[in-house]
Amino acid sequence: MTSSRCGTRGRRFATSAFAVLVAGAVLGFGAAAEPEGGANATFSPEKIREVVDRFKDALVTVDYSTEYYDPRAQRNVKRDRYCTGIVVGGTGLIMVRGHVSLPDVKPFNVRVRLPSGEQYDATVLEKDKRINVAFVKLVNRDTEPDLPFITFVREPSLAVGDEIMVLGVLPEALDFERTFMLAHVASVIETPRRVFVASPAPSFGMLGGPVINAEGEAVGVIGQDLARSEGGEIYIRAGYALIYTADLFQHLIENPPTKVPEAYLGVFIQPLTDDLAQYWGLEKAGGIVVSTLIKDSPAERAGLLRGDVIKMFDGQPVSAKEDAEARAFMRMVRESGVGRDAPITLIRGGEEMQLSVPLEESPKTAAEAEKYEDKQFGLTVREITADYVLGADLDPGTEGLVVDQVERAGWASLAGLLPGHILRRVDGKQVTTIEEFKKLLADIKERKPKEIAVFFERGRRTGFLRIEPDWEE
Amino acid sequence: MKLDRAVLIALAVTGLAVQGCSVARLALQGSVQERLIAAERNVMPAVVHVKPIKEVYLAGERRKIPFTGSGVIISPDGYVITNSHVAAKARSVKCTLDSKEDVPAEVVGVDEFTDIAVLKLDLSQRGDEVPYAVLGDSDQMRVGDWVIAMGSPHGLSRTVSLGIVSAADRYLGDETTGISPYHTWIQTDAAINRGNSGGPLVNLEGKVVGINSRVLLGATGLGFAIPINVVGEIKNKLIQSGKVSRSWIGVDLQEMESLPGLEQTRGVLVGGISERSPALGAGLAAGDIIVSYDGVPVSAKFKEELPAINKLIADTPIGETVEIVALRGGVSRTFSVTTAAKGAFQGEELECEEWGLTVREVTESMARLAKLDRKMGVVVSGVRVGGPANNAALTVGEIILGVDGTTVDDLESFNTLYERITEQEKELVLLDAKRGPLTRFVLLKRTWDEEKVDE
Repeated sequence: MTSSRCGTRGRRFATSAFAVLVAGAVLGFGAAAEPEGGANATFSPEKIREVVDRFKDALVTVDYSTEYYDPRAQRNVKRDRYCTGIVVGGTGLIMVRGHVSLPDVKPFNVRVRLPSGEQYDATVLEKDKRINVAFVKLVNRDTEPDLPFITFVREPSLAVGDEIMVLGVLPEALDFERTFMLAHVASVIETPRRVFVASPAPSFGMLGGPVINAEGEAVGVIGQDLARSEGGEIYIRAGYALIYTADLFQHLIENPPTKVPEAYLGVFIQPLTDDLAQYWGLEKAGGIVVSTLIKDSPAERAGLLRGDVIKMFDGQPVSAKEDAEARAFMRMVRESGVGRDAPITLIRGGEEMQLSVPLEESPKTAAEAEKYEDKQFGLTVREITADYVLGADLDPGTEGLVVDQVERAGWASLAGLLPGHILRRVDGKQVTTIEEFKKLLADIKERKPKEIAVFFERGRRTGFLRIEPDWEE
Repeated sequence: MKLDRAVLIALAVTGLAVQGCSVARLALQGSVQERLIAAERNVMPAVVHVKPIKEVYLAGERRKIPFTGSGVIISPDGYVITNSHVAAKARSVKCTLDSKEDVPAEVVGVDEFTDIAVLKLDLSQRGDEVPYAVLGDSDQMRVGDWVIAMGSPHGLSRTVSLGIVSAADRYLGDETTGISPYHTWIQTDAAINRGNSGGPLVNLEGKVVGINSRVLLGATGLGFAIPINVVGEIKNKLIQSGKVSRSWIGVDLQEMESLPGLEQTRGVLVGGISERSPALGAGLAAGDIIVSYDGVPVSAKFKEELPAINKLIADTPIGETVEIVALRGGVSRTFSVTTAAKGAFQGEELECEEWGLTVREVTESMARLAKLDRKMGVVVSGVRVGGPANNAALTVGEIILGVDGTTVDDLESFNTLYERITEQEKELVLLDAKRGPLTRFVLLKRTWDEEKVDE
């Protein structure tokens, strides 16, 4: 019943993605034509047909909507999107590209479209931070069908030169038909985790599609790392299609991710390069240099100092010489669990020493912060979180509310409030929690004053401005 | 405030105006056409095309660049007014006179806060007096008055354009933006372009009423001139001492309109107080309403009235103790504030060729913004591609607080360390760098220099 409406919405999106998708489709068929020339024997036409037939019913498309703030337009923007998904469990578990769920952009109105065209409501599960895949699950167990699913090889091995097949879904203009492409494993990228690069590069419809090896087994998926602004690790790698092999996500299929508290130390670090080791007269064996120590952090309480070189953490040697290895250390800390002490071996002033650092849960980030939107004032505020205190270089321990968004031409915007303004006093009263703010606004709405004074802080300066509500509006 | 941020102000680099000692003053009567021509003839002989060769620090290197602007001679012995953004950092300046002669000039002084500079023509080879322009009274200018702009837009010397005063007291920002905290501007639709900077805006009496300095980027017919009454005082100070000293107490002033319910109150609102400032020490706080400063009543209902109050404070002799009367919660209180010297707009710069970077002095205000305990360190102003600093991923804006374990107090101590270390030809040098709340270790490694290799 909903399929026709969804179809229309999908078509709207398809127009913008059309050029990319058609190019991809052509690529796919071009590659498919190659074996017929007889140049390549790994995937014969019979074998290709067999593989496509075997996997095609486990390929689905996932339609979803997103809402995010466009700072230039000063308003929230909504977009319909879709992507390729793979059914990975008989319980209606579907794996999709990780971009479906970003820290600042949560998907809603999620529906899974089966090869038959039928659509089912679905929900997006928690996301693992280590690998950029996301999972959606059908929500209505009563009406959903039994779906064929793909099982991945447990310990796949790929090497440069291997020929692979990638399955995907064509755009709506081509009726979401199943398709494939042939490619070779062209490169291996080792850090921060081993992934592979295919040549030719898979196109959009292949993103999230399964990668099949010469034995006709599913060995991985086509994925894309996140940009750093999206919560990823390496900015410059965003946008490249990569092969994530099954060893990176198999455990998530077996135990779909749930929210696990992450530990933090409260330090910023840099790798002990050979040059730094030489300068300090240390062994050129790598290590983690504490470059910034955050006030009131577990690391500070444990007695770490700026300039300490960490050699062992929680019983594991750490030997970072490069940035990527230093990032691996941060991940190691995040995943080490909370609520206990971890031993640290470090070098300070040339001497080795031991410390014990309490593993505490990482403070809430701005993306996780509680927000409150008041439509009448055209204003969304957010709690000030520890990461924001650092990013904006506020005094350590600063609490309060910061403007997250303002609606264009809304009361807040007209008064001159901008995202990033910290609300120090509103209507003469200090507001530090969302609750206080809500109560204050409720009270103001009761009294309907002609003007409301706001005392703000921004970029180390303070100032006053006034909101002039239009109660008749 | 919001408007000011959105307004991109560009500097228009240009020229001058004159009335001559040796030029017969023409009658300033008759039709507008006749008066325009008379005004042009009275002033143009004193307009000069200013051609400084500047020493600038670009992309981590010291370089020389030619620049072009305008100026106006204001005395028979050859004092010239131009913009500070034309004359600042000039290694040498040549001025082309209306007679098309090139005359060398020296920079007498620059004041970056008002964007005014004074040059002195070297007339020793010429042995003659030069025509000069007469300064008018900018306070008398009314919106709608005819004005002509003179100068060298895009290097086209002796260009004249006509317009009217579009606004007599345009407010273009405050102390944070560095744009004219102490005066408002004359806005005109007379065509002003790059190269007009420093040139005169002239009234129909043939008198200079402004110095053309800025345009609004992307707009047409929106030029801004510094009122000549502002210039006169700055000019005198520059000629006397080569610089303009100002007092600072560390208050951010806001117009009374910023707060509800104060429409009837006379005074000026304190929007914020700087760290480590005289005002903070004296107990002033954000939200106070200053009603008098050193016995002078002050009031700013609208932001256009703020520059005059900023100027009143700046003009206090440095180190003088003044009484400030302010309202707090409706109660009048008196604060005793001893002013401090206003710090430089921008610090001196230095090139460290061996390390492939240029650094700039950390000013007081920069130190406060960077949350340093005191004025210390140097800030990276440029990084040369292919140099050691670039290889170590040092970036513009990072503050260097230490070199090889020694604290950097200022530009001079940094230079001493730099010279000592480069003399030693050390392979590795460790910098303590800070950006925002983050600090890190930056290791400079000497780059391979082909020229220094023995064949």
